[in-house]
Amino acid sequence: MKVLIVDEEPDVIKVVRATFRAQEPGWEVLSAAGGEEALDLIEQEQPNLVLLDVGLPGMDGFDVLKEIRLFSDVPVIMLTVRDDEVSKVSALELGADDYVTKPFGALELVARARAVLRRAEGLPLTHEEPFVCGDIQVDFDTRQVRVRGQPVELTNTEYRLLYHLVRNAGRPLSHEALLARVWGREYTDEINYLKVYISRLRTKLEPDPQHPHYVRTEYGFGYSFRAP
Amino acid sequence: MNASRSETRTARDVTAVWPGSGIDRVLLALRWLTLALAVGLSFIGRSTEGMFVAALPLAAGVAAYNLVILFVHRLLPWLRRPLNVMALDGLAATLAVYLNGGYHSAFFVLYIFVLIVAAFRFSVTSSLFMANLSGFLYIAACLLNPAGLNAPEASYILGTKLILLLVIALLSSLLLEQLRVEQQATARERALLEAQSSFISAVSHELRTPLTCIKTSIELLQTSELLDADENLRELLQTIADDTARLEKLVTNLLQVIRLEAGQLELTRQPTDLAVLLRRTAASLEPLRMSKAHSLELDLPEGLPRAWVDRERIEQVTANVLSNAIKFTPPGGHIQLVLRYVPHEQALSVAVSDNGPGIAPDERERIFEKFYTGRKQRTSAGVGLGLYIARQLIELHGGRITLESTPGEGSTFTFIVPLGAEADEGTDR
Repeated sequence: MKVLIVDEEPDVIKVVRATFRAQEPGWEVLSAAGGEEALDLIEQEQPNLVLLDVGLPGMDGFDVLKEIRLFSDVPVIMLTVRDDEVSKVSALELGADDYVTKPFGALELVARARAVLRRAEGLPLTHEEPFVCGDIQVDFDTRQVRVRGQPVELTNTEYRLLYHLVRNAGRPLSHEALLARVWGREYTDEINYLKVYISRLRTKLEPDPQHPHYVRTEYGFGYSFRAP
Repeated sequence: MNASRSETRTARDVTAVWPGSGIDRVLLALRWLTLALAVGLSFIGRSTEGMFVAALPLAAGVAAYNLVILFVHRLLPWLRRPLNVMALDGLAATLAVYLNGGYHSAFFVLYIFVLIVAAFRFSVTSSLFMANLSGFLYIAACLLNPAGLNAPEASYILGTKLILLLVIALLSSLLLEQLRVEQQATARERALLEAQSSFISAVSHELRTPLTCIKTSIELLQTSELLDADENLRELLQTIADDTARLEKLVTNLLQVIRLEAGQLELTRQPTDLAVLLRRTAASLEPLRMSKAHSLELDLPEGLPRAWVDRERIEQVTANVLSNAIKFTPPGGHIQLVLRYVPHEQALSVAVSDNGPGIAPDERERIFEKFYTGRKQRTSAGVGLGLYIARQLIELHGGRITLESTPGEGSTFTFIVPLGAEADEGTDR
């Protein structure tokens, strides 16, 4: 397993390296001090996970994330001193998989890294009948999703979310339940994660994302998928 | 860099030459607008046949004047200074009034135009001076033109027009002055907000980055097998860890205060079972409670309506109030955490009671103030931000926090948070 840490502070790189050496001795830790160097390393080394600081000199972490998403689906955890919700949502909307605020602890960082990698592995294939509702078809065998017959590309997290929604079609699922099933139990308060991914699903599946027909908001509770 | 800056300057100088930009362009545009107004006014009360007869000299006059100005400005660039431009406009208006029948002349509106431009460019005093000067020039033009004063109502009209000029000068100057002040205030506020934001960013980075390294290193050292053999080292490390946690809390509180005061703290609300949240918060403080050997009574009924709150913030407020109760109650005390539904307010109330020393009446309001740590200096009192932040956060939720206390018997802090409307959920991003 290769992890790339991108941070301009050599001390942060040092402690992150020591953390993984102690907690996950088998993992190889690469490092970069700036955006350009990070992008080159991602292309050359194909890491399994990127820990990306927001406050980089020159090209900031958000810009680097945008560039990464142009050519790679590598899981990215943003590391930042900015703990406001706006920054968090911006990072998620740009395609970050998680967001860790400094000062973080060694164990917290490793736990987050493991959780993100677990999500990136995707769900095991299940041999069930395909789910069909209106224009939407979900084939659990191949994990392929089609809208009006056209295949739609979903990330692992998006597929997980859709999977839990359609498996419970017609039944509202609470925010907590969805967060726990898709992200993990330690994420049940992170409603912004859910909102961002619900929005992404709607953009990819709904004919009019502003007036969702399939992925419905259950006000004050959670979300549900329309029953077939 | 220098080369590009000088190129920019040269480009700006070129555009300043006639027809140019800024005041020159505005003046030109206004002159033509005034011409249109003058022509329009000259039509009022005239027969259709007389329209063109009256309009043509007006149009020709203003057009000619503008052409002359264009030519003069090229020859004498100093005349392009706003004050000189206005003086010329005033004289031209006077000439136009003189040539067009004195007090009947529709060119009177040119004076109004000069006044409004003066108000844009100068102070209230200058604008009033310009109004008086315009009035003087207008009266002079009427007096010089024998046809201008041959009616009995002439003096009445002259007086009225002079007053009109003064009122316009005063109103336009005051209005623009007010706008200027507001613009400056807005610019100052914006600059202050920007400064606050960059301060938050800088402080966050400079304090939180080294804290990350310290905190992570301590955690790694605490898991090291080397500590098993050295109890002393383990205790020292625990002391560093505790102090780092205190420092982290202080940094977080300071930054939160700055954000709250700058209006930059936003809530992330979600439907929340407060009983679950309060139980979780109490559990996180168990080590502290046990160290003081307090008993804790939780009265958290299930099945109450869910509140639309920011969980992290409500947890922070609860932890603050509860940890204060634990810290300031002598060992072996009794703490109560009670959750209630308040139907008439459509709200939930959370009360934390202790049987500690209580708080003196004159301190009950002050303890919610920023940096107030109480008269009795306690070693664990902190810097006096916790309750200030708690009040701000609860008020941000639309609720309130209160204190009831009897010295010697104990205190009860109660915060009430509205359930919140479902509509508050907003759109999903």
